[in-house]
Amino acid sequence: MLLQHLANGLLISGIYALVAVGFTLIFGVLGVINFAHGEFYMLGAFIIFFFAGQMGVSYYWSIPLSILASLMVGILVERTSIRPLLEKSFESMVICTFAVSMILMNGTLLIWGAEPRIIQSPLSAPVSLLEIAFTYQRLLVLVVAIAISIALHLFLQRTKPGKAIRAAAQNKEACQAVGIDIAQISRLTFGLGIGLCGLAGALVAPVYSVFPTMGQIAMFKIFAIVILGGLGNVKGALLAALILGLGESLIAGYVSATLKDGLAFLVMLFILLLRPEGIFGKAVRTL
Amino acid sequence: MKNRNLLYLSILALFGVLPLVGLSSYTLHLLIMIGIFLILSQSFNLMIGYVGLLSLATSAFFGVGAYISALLSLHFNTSFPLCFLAAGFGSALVAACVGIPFLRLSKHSFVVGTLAFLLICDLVSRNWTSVTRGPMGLPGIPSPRFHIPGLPAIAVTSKVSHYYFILILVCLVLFFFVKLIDSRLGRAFRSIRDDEVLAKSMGVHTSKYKWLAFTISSFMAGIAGSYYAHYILFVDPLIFDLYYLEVTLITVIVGGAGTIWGVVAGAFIFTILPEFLRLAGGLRLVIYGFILLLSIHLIPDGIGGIINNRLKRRRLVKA
Repeated sequence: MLLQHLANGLLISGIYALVAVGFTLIFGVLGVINFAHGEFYMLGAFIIFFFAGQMGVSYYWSIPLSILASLMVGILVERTSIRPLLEKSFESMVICTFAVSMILMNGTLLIWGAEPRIIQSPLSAPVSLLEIAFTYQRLLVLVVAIAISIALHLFLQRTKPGKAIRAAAQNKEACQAVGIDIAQISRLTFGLGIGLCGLAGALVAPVYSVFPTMGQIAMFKIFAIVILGGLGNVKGALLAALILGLGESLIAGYVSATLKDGLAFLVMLFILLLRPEGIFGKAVRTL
Repeated sequence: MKNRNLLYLSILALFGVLPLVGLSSYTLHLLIMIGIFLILSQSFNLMIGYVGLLSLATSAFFGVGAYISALLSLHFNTSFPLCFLAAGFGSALVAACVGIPFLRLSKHSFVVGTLAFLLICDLVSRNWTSVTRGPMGLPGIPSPRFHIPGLPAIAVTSKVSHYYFILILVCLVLFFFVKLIDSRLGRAFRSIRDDEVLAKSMGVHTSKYKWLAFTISSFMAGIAGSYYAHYILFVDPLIFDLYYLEVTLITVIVGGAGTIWGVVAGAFIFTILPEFLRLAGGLRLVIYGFILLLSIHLIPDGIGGIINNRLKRRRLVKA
């Protein structure tokens, strides 16, 4: 049973990681706490439902369509709502993304209704390995999540745009001094974050049911993860996603299912109390 | 100044005689809801508009107040005035405790932390079934009753009596709020909002004042929640739903954070507007989202801020 719980936890960790990395990158580069981030994850899942469930497109083709559609909504939001506010106060940006989240979530609710939707994937066949029951779909989620995490790490460490993203997160003035286009890097980061959300939504749709508030529920977990890992810290977010995913799965398996959702917030509260910069973050003096 | 007092008194008199012209109980219900949301919104306004902290826990303290009041009156038969005060001070006490760690955080983490507090309240109210009865909620909360020795007990049960009760409460809260903002304390709050580093260098004990504002704001939210529980006569975990936060947010931002009368106007607009539009919940929140989005882009100071700027300009032109 332990192996089964660990495997389930690993799957959840993978999803959390995909969404949280984008969130923490956007915070690092743009300084935006994107309250609408979880809605793009939800959108990714619903677009899969639209293409694969309602239009009859095959699941594999629906994945790139879903990422593309989430990206388009993301770009629209960035252009119209986020970019004009970048120079304004941090609070107005929070309210702005909160409003975007209200629109996306309730809009989805209006279009598709509140009942949870099930999506069939060609990979739903069960598979058993070392007494762990799995479906190929879950295996796919896990493999993709790990592959993307490694690819992202290489992208951020080795490539020029990746280095520019890290530089922009550290010091914007110095970036401009050496000729890095901050506006372009911001757009790239935002697109990257939203694309990862769309992908996560698309992958998870056949595993769990799809419903309009799933983005909000994920969002709260993502908050806990980035607080745990330190706001803006990519490696911290990945590790925290792993810790939270495994922890939730073990608690749900051995203690109680209701305590599972509380874990994220309890962890978050304790981190905020004892180490506000996150366990993997550097200590920063705040006002 | 005299003119202004006269204006306030005539507005008060207008609202005082309003029920006498024979308003329907539905209109009275709307006015009562405006009163409740007005107090809740001013509680939020104190934090975002005067101290400059975005606290998403305001609606959590609204719920905490409602639950404290409901539990005391149901389990201990506590009289309404006691429940009401206990709800206010109980919420303030909770805020005073959680405020110490929260206010040490950076402003980014503060937003996330206060939201987490709201979610924890929701989880507790859903899962602590032996006390809160979980999603079934707490029905049968008694209406407010006042026992004054020597006089017959006053029971606030009809819509009209509820209306007068909330009218008095709103007047008290607004009076207290105006006095607070004009006081030494209010000036300290505003100095933190305008420039925290500067305020600190001028000897304003910023962390102490932020903590005080958080506590006072929670007291206001707590009494609003208590009255709400004794008006609706039912409390369930939905009181911690994001809906209350969203309505409070839009009321204060569109009304004008940092202006008292703008927020009053906001409370009227956003309680009456949905009734006129007769919208289903989903569409209403989509429209609210768009209004909030447009407001933050086009009128970041809100309605109250625009009017204040106009008045200031006119005064400058005259002078």
